[in-house]
Amino acid sequence: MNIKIKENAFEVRNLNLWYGKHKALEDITIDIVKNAITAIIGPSGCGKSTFLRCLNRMNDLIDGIRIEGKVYFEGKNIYDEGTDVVLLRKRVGMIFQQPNPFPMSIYDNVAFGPRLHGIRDRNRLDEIVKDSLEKASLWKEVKNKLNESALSLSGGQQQRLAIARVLAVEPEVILMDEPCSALDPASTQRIEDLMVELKANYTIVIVTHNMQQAARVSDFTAFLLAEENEPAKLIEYGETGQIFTNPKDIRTENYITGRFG
Amino acid sequence: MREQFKEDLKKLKNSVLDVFDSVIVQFEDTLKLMDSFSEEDAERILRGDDVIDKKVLDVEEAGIQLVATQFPVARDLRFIHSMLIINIHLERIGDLIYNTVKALNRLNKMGYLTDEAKESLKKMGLSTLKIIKKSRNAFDSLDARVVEELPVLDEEVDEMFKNFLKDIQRISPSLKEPEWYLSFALIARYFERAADQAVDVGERVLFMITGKFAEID
Repeated sequence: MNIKIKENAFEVRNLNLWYGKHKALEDITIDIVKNAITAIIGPSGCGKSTFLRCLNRMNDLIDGIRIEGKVYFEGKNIYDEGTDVVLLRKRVGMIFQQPNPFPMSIYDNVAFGPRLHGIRDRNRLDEIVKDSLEKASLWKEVKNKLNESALSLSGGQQQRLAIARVLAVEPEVILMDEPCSALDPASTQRIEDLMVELKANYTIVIVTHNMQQAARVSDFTAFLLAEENEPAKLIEYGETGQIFTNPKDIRTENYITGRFG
Repeated sequence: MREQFKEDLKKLKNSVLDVFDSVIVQFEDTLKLMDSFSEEDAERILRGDDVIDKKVLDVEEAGIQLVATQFPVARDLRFIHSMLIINIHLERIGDLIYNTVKALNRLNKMGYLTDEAKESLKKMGLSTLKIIKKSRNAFDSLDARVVEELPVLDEEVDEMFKNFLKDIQRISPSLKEPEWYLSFALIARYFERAADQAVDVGERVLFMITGKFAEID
């Protein structure tokens, strides 16, 4: 008998987060399954992006933030003292709503990360750039114009370039914060197809407002909700098929069917 | 939020209830044929099946449009999906009524629609009608308790069907008439199948309510 046991990339335990005196996240406990796509859904301002940023300590950069609880990544609490945050962010990359390519060539955009991590050998860099652009399904479109400005690319191409940039530093996890909200349907489709391809080798966590996108691409869905004057809580988490056909919590049901939010 | 969609879902449900009502009227009219058979009434019921088929197609089209345009999920998805399946069950009950009337017509032409035969069939038909009405009630109210009554009623029909087959030899005008025997047994079988379809409607209603597929028996 062949039983496949799911491994977790993250195990988040009793995570609480405050912006100054304002408590934004309360008691979030969730497992993020390895080599799967987990979608975080919820109304605007419910703390989805805040939660996402907790997974690679991007929130550390915000003044007045306080975090309690534990976030185990590959078994180690990333909030323990002595955590190498630069290494963490290399292992847990992030894609944002706006791709924001650096004002330099396509090649240099992708090579930027590896160079920062000390890779100088041109042949090695060429290899990484090609490999990353191929994985991001962009190579065929840009292979003859690697030295052109990344700003000349379309929005959809820029977002795939951003993905290539993240892949170039060989992460294990890719966090995506509304990666398609500025893209047209065709470009969105390409990113979604890409996500499904990438999950064989990477763990993906995506924040999205687009219910259909969450339903289409993700394996697991987490619903966050901040009820009136309350911090955001994890209302429901489960396999995406179950969440979108038979959610257990009436608040999830009401949100995904558009009855509020 | 999504007021128009809510309104559309209500309309879809009302359309399915309308198919239910048409099926029930057809069934009642068929049972009336057993009191006094008229070819004219039989013809009218047969034509009525086309009306049901048209309504069933309209429901299907409206349901598909809602899926395509509203991306329903969770309860909404279950409701639309279930309504489309209930719609098919109703269409099949309509077909069974059609076949029943055809068989009655044959029996009548052969002069074999005896009082005893009619009485025996009508009793079973009334029980079947009761289940169909109950399944309509379950669908309309979305009440699991009503669904639970369906298998009990269905058991009665199943029992009647078994007894009917035993009884058929006794009331047969002549065992040498296979056409009589077959038509008579088929009508009973159509009623038994119609009752089963109504129970299947109940299973769909349970799915609408709970999100779980379950066979009720």
